[in-house]
Amino acid sequence: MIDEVSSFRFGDDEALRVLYEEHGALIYSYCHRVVGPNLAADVTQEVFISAWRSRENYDSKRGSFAAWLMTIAKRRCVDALRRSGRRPEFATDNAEGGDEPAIEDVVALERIADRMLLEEVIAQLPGRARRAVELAFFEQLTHPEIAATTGSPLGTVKSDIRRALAAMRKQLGGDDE
Amino acid sequence: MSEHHPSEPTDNDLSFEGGDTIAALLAEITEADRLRLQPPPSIWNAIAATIAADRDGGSNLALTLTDSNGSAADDLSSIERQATTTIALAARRRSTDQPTLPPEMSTWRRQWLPVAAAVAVAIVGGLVTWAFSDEIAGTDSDNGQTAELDGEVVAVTEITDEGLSNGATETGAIGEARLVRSGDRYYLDLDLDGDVTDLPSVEGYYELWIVDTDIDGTFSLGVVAGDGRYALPDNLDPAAYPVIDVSAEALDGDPTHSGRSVWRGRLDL
Repeated sequence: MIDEVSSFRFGDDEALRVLYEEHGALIYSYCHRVVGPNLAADVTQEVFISAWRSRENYDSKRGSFAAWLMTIAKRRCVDALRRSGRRPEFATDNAEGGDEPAIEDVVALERIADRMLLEEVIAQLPGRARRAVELAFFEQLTHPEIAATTGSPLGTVKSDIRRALAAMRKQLGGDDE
Repeated sequence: MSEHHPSEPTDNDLSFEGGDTIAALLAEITEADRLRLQPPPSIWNAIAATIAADRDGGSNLALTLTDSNGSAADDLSSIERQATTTIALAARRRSTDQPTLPPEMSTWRRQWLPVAAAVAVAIVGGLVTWAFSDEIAGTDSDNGQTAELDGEVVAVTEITDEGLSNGATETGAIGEARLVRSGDRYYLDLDLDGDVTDLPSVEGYYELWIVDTDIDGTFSLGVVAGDGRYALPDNLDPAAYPVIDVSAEALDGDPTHSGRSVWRGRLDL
């Protein structure tokens, strides 16, 4: 079975539809958060069209497909903000408006993108591994403490977390358009 | 999310490159980062319409996203139903066990069927009726020869532009590829419905490939010059390379696949 990303790279527009169904909510949610509800649809559309037209540039060895889409989304969001002379939707000190995104805004939207990508990985982990990651990183438990809390062998806890970290690392790999 | 205690020690191995960044990001995750909004159907409709326009005048994909009045459908379930139908039709068209043409065959193929049949009859003198038997005798018409090429047909696939956009050929199926075993070797017999000169012109040339399911591995079988037999590499398991791909290649000296797949099929192995 050819995976959808590979089919996408080879120009299968049906694969694009499947990938849109898989990642559309992530990208739309991100755009909604950064550029606001009025521009989110247009920017999301631009992201997937840009991805389609530059699909030959995607290299799975350099990061996940979601990360590649998110890289495009970040650029398109910044472009949209600049075009409209606005700062990001999440910028709280934007009362005056009529400004372009500041450096700190760009840094912030980068971190939001990375956090949403990591959340995607966590959400897709099997239950046991997801629980181990949450205990390790959100509650800061040690591995023996996680093993004691969950009843899983220590080795299982370590391997679950190791695999999850590897997936997160790959997820954040990103790529150029 | 649980309360964070970032100052407490843990034994998570974050010594790899970027590990600290991941830990810091994880500690920052909020409910807003977890929120997912479903995009309105109009977004996909716009994407599909743009891609259809890129394909030089429309596509099946666009058709699946418009209602009978030609306006954009706004009912996602309707879109999904129609898309599913499209997938099912594509799967049927790629089926190797239906030698008769299905009703949804392309206009291009309908037009070329009589011509292709006449050419085939003229060349092989009735061998076309054996095309779907287990034992066949192919022809090497590239060289104007009619020498019989024996072998056992292992699998057959239609070569079509269904679902592909790179070539924007809108030719539908252009022929078939048959995986043939002869002795210890495997061959791919390409059987175009028409002549190679009937294929859309391209700046460069068409090249035939076998591709693995991950699209990581490709083997070039050569330039498509017409019907003919193409030898697979020795000791290669054809089941690992079931995708038959015809690409458009530029005259740039680059021997790798251009990424512009124009027609494709998949052998059921």
